[in-house]
Amino acid sequence: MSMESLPDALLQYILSHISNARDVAACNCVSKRWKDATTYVRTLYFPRNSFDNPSSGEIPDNIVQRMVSNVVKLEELVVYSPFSPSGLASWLSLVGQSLTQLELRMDNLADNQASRESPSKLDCIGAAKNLVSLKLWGVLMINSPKWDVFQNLSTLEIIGARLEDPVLTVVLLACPYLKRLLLLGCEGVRSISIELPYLEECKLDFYGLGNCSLSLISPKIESLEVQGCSWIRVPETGHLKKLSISNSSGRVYMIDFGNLNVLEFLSMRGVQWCWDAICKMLKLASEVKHLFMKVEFTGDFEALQPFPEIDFVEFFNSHPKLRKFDIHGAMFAALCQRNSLKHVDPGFVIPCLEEAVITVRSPLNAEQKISTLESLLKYGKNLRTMVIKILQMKSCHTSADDFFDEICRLRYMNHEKVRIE
Amino acid sequence: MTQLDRLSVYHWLNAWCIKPVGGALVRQEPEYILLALMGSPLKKIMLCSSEKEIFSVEEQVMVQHSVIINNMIEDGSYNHEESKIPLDCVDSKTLKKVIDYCTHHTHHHNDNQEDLEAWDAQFLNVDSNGLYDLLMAANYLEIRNLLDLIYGTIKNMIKGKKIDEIRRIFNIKDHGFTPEEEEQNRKEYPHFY
Repeated sequence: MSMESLPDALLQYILSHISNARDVAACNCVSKRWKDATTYVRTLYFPRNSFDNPSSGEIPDNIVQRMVSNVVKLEELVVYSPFSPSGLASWLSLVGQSLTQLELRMDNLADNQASRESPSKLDCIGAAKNLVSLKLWGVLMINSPKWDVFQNLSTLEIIGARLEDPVLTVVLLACPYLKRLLLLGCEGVRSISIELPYLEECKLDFYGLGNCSLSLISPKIESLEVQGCSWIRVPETGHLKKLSISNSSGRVYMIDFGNLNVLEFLSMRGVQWCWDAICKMLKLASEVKHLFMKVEFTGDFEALQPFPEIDFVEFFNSHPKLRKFDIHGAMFAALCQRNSLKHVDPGFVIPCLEEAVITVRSPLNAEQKISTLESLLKYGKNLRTMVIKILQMKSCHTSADDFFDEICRLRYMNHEKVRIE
Repeated sequence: MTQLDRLSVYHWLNAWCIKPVGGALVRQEPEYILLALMGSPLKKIMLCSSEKEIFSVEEQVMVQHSVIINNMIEDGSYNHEESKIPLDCVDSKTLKKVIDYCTHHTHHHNDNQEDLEAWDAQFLNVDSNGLYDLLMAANYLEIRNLLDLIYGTIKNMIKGKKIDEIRRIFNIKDHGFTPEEEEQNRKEYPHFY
């Protein structure tokens, strides 16, 4: 008994899971029985170099079409190799009904002019009416696509795009049932308003000056990550568990969120945040379990300002559920300033803290910093690990060395818990 | 030995005997005797290959891996005292390997992923006929993880290979294409051959 006598059902099952187009093409030629079995392939994936060495004179679009037509009910099509709008249109006319997942490498963003071809590649995608997931790489979205509503689309991912606000609005209007929206590495967005009633996960990464405005109305949102916005309004946050706001080029100055009662993870990062925004955020996130803070400066206008003092005791009292705490440089320094540690209420405790990661960058106010670190160890009854990261210490004199010595002493005294990186 | 239930007493008594079961002679394993003495019998079941050879294996091991055997034990059609499970489409060599796989994965399920994968790779280091036999056995017994493992291995035997190579590996002597079709294929994909 050998592989040749493999029952049809098993052969079909095995071959239907082969997705690389080259392998499928080879299987089509192995034997008649195998060719019949590959009609049940579910995914066809064409890597970028699929047609780099064309064997016959056939154009790639036609080869793809031929392979697509050999499949009975194609569910997923992934094409990273170059193609034309008419090629895409011909494939989707064959499988548009059964296709649930489509992933395409669209355009070369270096081309400054969108091709005037009509219909465009983006337009052609509309033929895949039953899509559940659409992922596009490198898209020039400066002309609104002519799409009907995608009734089943629950995931939309656009990576590397040059957008214009009205085009993005039209695109989102065609996907009212989205549950996951990812717009990564997108340039050209200025102001966007998203109203998607079923959205649960949203990740936005906008390139540029860092001054985009975002309004998001999605009552079911559970996870939100935003990079590159300075004005953010998310009024309905009853389900929000994970929130990450960062801005590496601009200033975060307006944050308007609903209550964050179920928020478990909060990350605040950026070059500059207005103090008001920081306070508001920290106040709303009172139930948070994991907090990551890495903002370098504050200030309401162009000028970069250092942080005002943050009261250690008050801070931990207003975030009682904190389990994991990650704090960097300037913000840690701010936590050390106000010396409420001299008169601490005897009942004060940091109940849930298990893990702390502190990054220090300068030896200024060394004594207060050490005192704060010691307080974390003293009041953090459940603290298991403290990691102290020392970065780019601007060592002027011996002050840097002294500080480092103090930290080492701290580590020595608490060696099961403290670690230096 | 105060908590022994009736079944364990029965097995404990039997442990000292060699008794005939379904036409073959079976001896209980030593560790089974020990465990029976300690009051917690290790339930074993008997599997019978197509060559009428009996294999005794821990019930827990087979129940965890084979849907078919699990169903048989659950619906009560397997009687521990008397029965054996006849597996007429699995020969002794293959059955032994299947039992080997299930036993290892039950006893080593806490091992790290790398070690398990290395063991699996070694386990499947067989010729294509052996692989075929394992596939049919795993399919019959409905052992999901072994099936997936074999499917993955077969897929890897196909990926990136030239057509002539695939035909050789899978022992395909007659491809079933007409001469015109075969020629057409060779013209369209010359460097796949």
